[in-house]
Amino acid sequence: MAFAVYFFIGWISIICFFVQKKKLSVVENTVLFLCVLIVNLNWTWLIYEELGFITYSHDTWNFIAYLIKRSIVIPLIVLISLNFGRTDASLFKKLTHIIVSSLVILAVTSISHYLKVTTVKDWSILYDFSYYVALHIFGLLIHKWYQTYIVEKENEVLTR
Amino acid sequence: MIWIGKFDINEISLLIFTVAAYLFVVFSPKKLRREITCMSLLWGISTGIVYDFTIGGGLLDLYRENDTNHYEFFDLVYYALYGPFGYAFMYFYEVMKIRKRTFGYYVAGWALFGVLAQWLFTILHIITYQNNYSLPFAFPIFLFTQSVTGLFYHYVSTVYPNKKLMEKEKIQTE
Repeated sequence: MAFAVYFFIGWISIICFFVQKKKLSVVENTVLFLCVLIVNLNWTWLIYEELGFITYSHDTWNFIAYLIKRSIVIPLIVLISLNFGRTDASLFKKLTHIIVSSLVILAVTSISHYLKVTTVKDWSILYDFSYYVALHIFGLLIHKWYQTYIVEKENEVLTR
Repeated sequence: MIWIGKFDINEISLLIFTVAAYLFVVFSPKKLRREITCMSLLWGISTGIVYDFTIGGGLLDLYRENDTNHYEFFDLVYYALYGPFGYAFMYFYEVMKIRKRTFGYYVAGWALFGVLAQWLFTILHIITYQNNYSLPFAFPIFLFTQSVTGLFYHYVSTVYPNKKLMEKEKIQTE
């Protein structure tokens, strides 16, 4: 059941990203996806494996569902949020996108607890929400860094 | 979670490999744009991390990095070492002017090189196989990974430069 649900959520995420009108280039999207993926993998490893605040199911199909959520769904939802709206959107609008997107990921996380893909030991959903908001802000900062130190420097070389 | 563990052959060789690999990235003649260089390094690092946290840990737990199955500082150095591999793949793709006809040979060559690197890592105790995993299994994994990397880079290099060339022309006309 959990595998089917998460496979569907993963598929929906990919389709949404595919059809979305993107404001970032393919390379920018790849860089952001990989950065968010790296942070999310390390975070989940620390929380699940090292500190044991949450545990995952040892059933094979449920574990695959957990992998789909960790490696595909969460980074893609963050990426969809970062591509959403206009480049010159106000801070309030950007913040609204981040909060809505974080709530969507929180709903996906709640489904994983409900379907026993993951089990909470010593953790609060508020920590999860804070982490998801921080993950979006990290994405925005990486994008800012990428624009300043990679794209603009490259354009300087091109104009020489 | 431990800090370093026992500082011996695996830690020393990891440091040497990683420094040498990043020196190659810094001092090799520039063939890739900064955006692609950044993407290639991240691609390499994240590929390593995805595999290590998926088949190298969790339910499968097919291999151990460095001294323990837990997170340690030199695991980060090991992940960083994957970055220049991603860069080298895309760098030599350009240097050797890989096209459709040579794509298969190039990917297979990298897969063999990956297996060779894994073999070296096992000798140096950077990687220790467990749960019935052995070196031959690494070949299909590398073959799959390098194929995906090659196809993705082929797609990026056909889509991205056109836009950049247009920008360059636009800048020059201004």
